[in-house]
Amino acid sequence: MEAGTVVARPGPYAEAVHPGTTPRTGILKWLLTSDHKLIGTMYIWLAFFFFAIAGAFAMVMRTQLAAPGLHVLRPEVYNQIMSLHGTFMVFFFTIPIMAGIANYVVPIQIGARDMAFPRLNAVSFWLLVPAGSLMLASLFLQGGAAAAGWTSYPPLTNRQYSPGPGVDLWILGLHLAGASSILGGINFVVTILNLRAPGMKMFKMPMFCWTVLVTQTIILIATPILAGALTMALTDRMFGTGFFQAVAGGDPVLWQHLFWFYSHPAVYIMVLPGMGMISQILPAFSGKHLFGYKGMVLATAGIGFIGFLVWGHHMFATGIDYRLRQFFSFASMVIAVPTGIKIWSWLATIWGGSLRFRTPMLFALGFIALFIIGGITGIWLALVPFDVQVHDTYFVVAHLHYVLFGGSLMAIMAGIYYWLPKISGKLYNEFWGKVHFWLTFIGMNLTFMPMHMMGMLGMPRRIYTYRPEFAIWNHIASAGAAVLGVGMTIFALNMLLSLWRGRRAPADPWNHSDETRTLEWTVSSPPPAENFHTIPVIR
Amino acid sequence: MKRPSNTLLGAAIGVLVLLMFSFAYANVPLFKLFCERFGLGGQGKARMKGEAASAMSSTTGPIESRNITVSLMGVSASGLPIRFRPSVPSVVTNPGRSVHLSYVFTNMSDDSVHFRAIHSIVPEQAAREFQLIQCFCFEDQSLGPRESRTLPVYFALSPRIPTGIEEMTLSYTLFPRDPKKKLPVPAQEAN
Ligand SMILES: [Cu+2]
Repeated sequence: MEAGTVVARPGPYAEAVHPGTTPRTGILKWLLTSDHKLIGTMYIWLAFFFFAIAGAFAMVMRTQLAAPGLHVLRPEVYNQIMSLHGTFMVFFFTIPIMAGIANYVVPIQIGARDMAFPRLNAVSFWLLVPAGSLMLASLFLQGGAAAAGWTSYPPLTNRQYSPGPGVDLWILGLHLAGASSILGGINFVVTILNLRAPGMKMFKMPMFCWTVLVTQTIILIATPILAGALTMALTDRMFGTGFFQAVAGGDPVLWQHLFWFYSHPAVYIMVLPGMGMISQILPAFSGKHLFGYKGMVLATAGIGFIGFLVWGHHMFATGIDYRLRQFFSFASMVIAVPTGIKIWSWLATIWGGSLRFRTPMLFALGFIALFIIGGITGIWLALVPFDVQVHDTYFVVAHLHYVLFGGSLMAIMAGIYYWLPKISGKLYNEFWGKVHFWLTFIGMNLTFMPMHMMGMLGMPRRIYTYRPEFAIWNHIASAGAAVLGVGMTIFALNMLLSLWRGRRAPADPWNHSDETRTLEWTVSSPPPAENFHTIPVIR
Repeated sequence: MKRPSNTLLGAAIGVLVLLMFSFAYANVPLFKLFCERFGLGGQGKARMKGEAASAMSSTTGPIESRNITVSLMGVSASGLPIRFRPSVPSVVTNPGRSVHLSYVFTNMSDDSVHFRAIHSIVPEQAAREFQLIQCFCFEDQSLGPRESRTLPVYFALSPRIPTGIEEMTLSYTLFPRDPKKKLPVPAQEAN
């Protein structure tokens, strides 16, 4: 049998379903649950709630930027909206929804009944609620929300430049989100290492489980560093320590080092699980097994490892030593190697397959196309002279959105369309799913492709208005944002309608071939309590 | 293979998390040490302190035998009717030796001109070891109609100049100055 493809065989009883527990009903069923499927579902709901807010922020920004000299927002409010858009998309949408989907899917894929620490799992989820709420609430306080961008560099975040409580709440909110990530990370790693069903060897795990394992390991190494930096920033503001204050003998550049030591790997926290989803969806709709499974595993681990050696590419303009610049530039370009291995393996997977262009497949193919563009501009930005030229311009905004929208979000959408019937037990309307895809694909390019031009012409990012020379590109970008808005509305309606009155989904709505069917498609939709009547034994 | 218990594995990972959190704080002194060693753009604080303590010590130090060619250049910013050129196109000198040369400035117009010369030194990593002792670029300059004047430059290369550097360039750009306006703060600090 091909590595990485599993066929469930009803085996001997490995573990009995816990008897004698009466299921709770109503709201308490959700509030008190420690079931990974319910927690995963709540993660997905909460993440989409924050996505709607951060998306609305984006729409307001594109309205303000639709033409030069508009006054939709006051400049200081623009800065707050812009900062919260970035923060919410990264920390309260992309990272949690990946955790949510993984929470639902991974235990089933490895043949487990639940996560290793079910109650800790609930704690991880519930920490996100106050985290996001604190940040949102800061919008309505005196002085408004944090307005220093999602990167929150000192000295801009020092007391004298950001006097209100906004930055304090931003720090606290991020601290809670980080704690949620770390606890989740412990849980995932122990689950994947310890709870695999009999016969489920590491190199038989579905690719998605591997990417989750690598991602969660990155979280465990990187997030504590962010937590440390946030603690220093907070004590700088609250108790007058001077970690990042030049006058007190500290160094604001230290924040940048610590922040990017976390936040470059965070890009992989946001993208690797998406790559795992793609690595399952492409085979499923090509009728072929994943090409080069072991190479994919190694490439995933390689990206995770090298990802820790490149943070300095965000700091080429800070005056760091030229030898360091050379190192970071080179290391950043090396990442293209494992990434290239992945892209070629995906192409080889679909090559000669009998492709079925269902909605998840469209999003998966869209992911590849857009992520390649983001990857290529990433290599440009790894070149010091080019980076210094376009530093802090819209070129960087274009690049990061091709990676995080074209990469992470397209993959998330692919994953949601792929697993939603499994999670909800309902089918959705395929036609409107495809409409959503095309509006997203076209709108995404309309919105972010012109930003490359703006950046190369020199339009600075994080500014609430701009010179008339940049107008034409901004008109196009704002029109693209409107297309995206329509697409996302259709997505929301389609999903809600499917939950309300969709047809019942069978165990395997996608008719996987034997080679590509992972364990979750062998149980009912939604899966029974504790996932399996008998723990499967993998041959 | 026997798997460790969930609790044991979870606790072990928890220890790793705590270690990484402490590592964030360990970075505070480590970063200071690193900066003192390597500093901003290759210029360590330790070295800067040494210089401040014994200013000009480098020029009075032993003269080294390695040869370094310093090319001299200059351009006028757009609109300035000044022709200027160094007395020699380049000089060959040794670290520790001080050099005296001059630039000739000619006003090509019938009005007085006021200007400021801004210097730049490449390669960057040797720039701090290039010490301008006296320079016309330290002050605003003016020339009467059709006036020609020779202005001096004194400089020395410090013996600490990185080995492997054999060529350097000192170039000036002239910018027009309005003598009635005070300089903005950063330009004053540039002295
Ligand atoms: Cu990066």
